[in-house]
Amino acid sequence: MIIDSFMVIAYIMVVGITVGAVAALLQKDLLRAAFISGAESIALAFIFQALLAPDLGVTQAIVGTVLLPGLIILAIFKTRRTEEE
Amino acid sequence: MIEISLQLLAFIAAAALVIIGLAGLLLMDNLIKKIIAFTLLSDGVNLLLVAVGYVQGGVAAILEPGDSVTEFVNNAVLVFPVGIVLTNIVIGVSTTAILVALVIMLYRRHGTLKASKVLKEEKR
Repeated sequence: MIIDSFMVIAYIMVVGITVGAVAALLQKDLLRAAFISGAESIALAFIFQALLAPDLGVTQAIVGTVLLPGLIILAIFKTRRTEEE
Repeated sequence: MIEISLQLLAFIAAAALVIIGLAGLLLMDNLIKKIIAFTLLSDGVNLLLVAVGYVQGGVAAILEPGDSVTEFVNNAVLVFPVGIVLTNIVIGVSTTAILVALVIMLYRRHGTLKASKVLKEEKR
């Protein structure tokens, strides 16, 4: 059986997207949640690239990794870092 | 082993993202967590639209000088979802910026990030 290495990487990225999304929501530390959502966004950018939309891959990589976590980190510094009980 | 195409894999990932984002938007009590769940939901919808436009064994929708136009039309992925999603990603950033500003104003007014507490104090 020939294993398609590209599909194996795609499987890993899809699992990474799902696990990253759940982990970002379950994380108590909001700063860590912002970084995990950025990592999830990189895996999503790979899937965009694999689906033959390279412009979307580049845009998602920049926006999802720098801008969105940056905005959330700004909100955390203006409010509080941990979730209250 | 069942053969799963890349398109079906992308559909599964999009469904998972939409479900996780919707659940987080409804169940999380923290306002910043709600913002993160909103971006996840938006990512899921974007991925669904791109996966709809995917063509198996096609080429990216970039026409280079010297390419045959007929071949490009027959093989390229759909251009319309890609353009829509590119717009949606950029609009999503500005929506998130407005949400962040609103959350900061709510925190200054109520001193808390819990949605239930903010709602209770707003009703009074």
